[in-house]
Amino acid sequence: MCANPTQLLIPLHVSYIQKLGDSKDDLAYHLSAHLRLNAIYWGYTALAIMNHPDALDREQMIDFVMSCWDQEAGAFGAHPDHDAHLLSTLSAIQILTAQDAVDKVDVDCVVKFILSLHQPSGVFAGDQFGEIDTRFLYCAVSALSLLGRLHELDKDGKREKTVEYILRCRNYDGGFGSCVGAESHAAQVFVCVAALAILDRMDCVDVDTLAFWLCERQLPNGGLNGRPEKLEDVCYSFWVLSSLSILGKVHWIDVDKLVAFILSAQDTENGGIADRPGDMVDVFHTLFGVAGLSILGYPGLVDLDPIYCMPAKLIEAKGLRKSWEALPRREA
Amino acid sequence: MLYEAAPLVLKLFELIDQPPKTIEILPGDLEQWVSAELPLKSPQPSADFPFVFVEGNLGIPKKVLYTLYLTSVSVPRNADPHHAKAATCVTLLVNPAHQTALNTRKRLVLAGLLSPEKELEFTELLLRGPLDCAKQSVLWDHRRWCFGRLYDSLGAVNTQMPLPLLHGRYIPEELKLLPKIPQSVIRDEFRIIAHACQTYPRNYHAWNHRHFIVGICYALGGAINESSEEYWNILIEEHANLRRWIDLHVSDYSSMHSFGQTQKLIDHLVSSSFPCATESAISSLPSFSNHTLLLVTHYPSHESLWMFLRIALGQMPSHKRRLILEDMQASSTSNEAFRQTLRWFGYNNS
Repeated sequence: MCANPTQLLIPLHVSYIQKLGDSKDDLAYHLSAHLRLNAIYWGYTALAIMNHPDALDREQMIDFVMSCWDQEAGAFGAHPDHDAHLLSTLSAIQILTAQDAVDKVDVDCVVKFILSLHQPSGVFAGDQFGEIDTRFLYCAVSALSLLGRLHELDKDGKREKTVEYILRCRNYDGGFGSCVGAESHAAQVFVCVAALAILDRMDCVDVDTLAFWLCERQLPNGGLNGRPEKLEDVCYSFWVLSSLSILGKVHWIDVDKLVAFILSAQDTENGGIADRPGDMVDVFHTLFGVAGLSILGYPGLVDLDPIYCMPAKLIEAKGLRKSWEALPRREA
Repeated sequence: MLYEAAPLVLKLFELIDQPPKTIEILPGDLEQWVSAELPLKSPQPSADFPFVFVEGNLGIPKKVLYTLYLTSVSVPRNADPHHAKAATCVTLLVNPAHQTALNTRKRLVLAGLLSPEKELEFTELLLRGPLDCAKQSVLWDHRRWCFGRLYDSLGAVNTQMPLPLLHGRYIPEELKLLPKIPQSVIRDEFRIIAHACQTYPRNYHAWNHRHFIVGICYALGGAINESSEEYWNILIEEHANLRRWIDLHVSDYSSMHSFGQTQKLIDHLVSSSFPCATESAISSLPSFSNHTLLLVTHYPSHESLWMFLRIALGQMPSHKRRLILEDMQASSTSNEAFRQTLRWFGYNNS
């Protein structure tokens, strides 16, 4: 592996993602079965941002998504014979939307599943067993929005309750946690801010205070962490940057240093991006590395909607575009 | 539908079900352990028993466990109860984030085929065992779910005194569903959380779980007929423990955030009239702001500490905060944390 690559090695990353499904006998493949559908969304979206959306077979992908349908629950699990959950259901909806295959789904069924998970407090549970987290709130709001059914939250005051819950999760530092009273965490900041953006309630965000907290996540090596005094991690290039993008403050961080950090975490032999230089790559960090670079205007990438983490053109075409700013796309 | 689970998955499950005192994943494969010198009564590891089981402590060579995992993870979710229990047990040992495996166990509990007590026992072993387990939100949530099955709910709360912070923390529907966890179990839970936070620093979900347990102590402490005061004493004791923790972990902002949350509850207990036993315990606690000022003076480069100071000052009455900030400003400090604090509260550092 050569030190400090100065370019995004797109062909290598495309090939890395294409090969992911090849090693079905590997332990690693089985250890990640509970995340499979999410992983397909991560890989497919990374390819789309790198302008190679057709690098994976469309029919095979759609067939796999549909094989994750949990008939009893009326939604999607992460893998065949896995229980339905909001995390995997959102990934399924994102993939099918991008592949223009939502017609394969019983949308009413999925909407019913999502709404059944709304709690009296306004948060969403992840599944029927009741774990609550603002991540699931975002999954619900994003999925309903992508399906064109966000108005279902207008019944019985659900929308107000959902916004109220997010507000109760706001801390003095302007950030948000996973539930009421939880510490601010960049990933939870993203899900809360993005959900508020979809719900047209950005008035609930203390923009300057939160943007300051987000910028404090940048470390001397250029990388971003998710909480005070934690290590830098490439995935925060998305969680932090997308939040800053929604707040219109991407320019508050040192762009060149962050770009250099993300590029340094690439595997220059086999492709893929890791959480930090020298570590093993995975598809999760590959997506969020290229997503961060897209928001930073890196040349040769497709524009990304930071709220939905999907190609911007697609979201615009569906009439779902909200207010956000990315840096202008630089010439190669 | 009948099928054959690998006999070693069942064997491992039997060992875990005893339960052992501890579970550890050992490096290497069976070969490395076959000739290990073990105490006389311990079974020698072999192909039929590829485990190290010494005085109730269970060790499983990593490569053995991964082989068993490939079998356990392919057992369908609608398997018969015995195989489901065994398979999910082994699956979770390797992959504690396997949501469906945990759900399968919840279904067994709901069907009366697995007890919530055993689940708490099993998840405690996991949380104290393999490193990855302690950071999985689903495992902590599984414990909360088990508490909900095991103990009655609080119901409509009749409190000894108004607890406004309770009603800020929970809406009435949430409050009613809080489980009435006994005091001894609460103490054990704090110990499990402390262990997880020590072995996996900045453990987000462990600290969240602590927040849940603290909320229960506060709620039950205020409820009539719940032998309540002792819950508040536990809360105060834990708060003192947490202060000592912070002194030893000055970059652990998670602990400081948690401290600030609990301090609000304790400040409220102080400002209300409540039993003497609790009052004397509280009065022995040093002041929040003095503690943070001291820490920041000694360790000015820690981002966590100047945020901790900000929490402490933010929770003070404004006239007391003003005095401290004016002192800070007048001292023309070069301490970066103090300068950040002054900026935060809108004071220009001279």
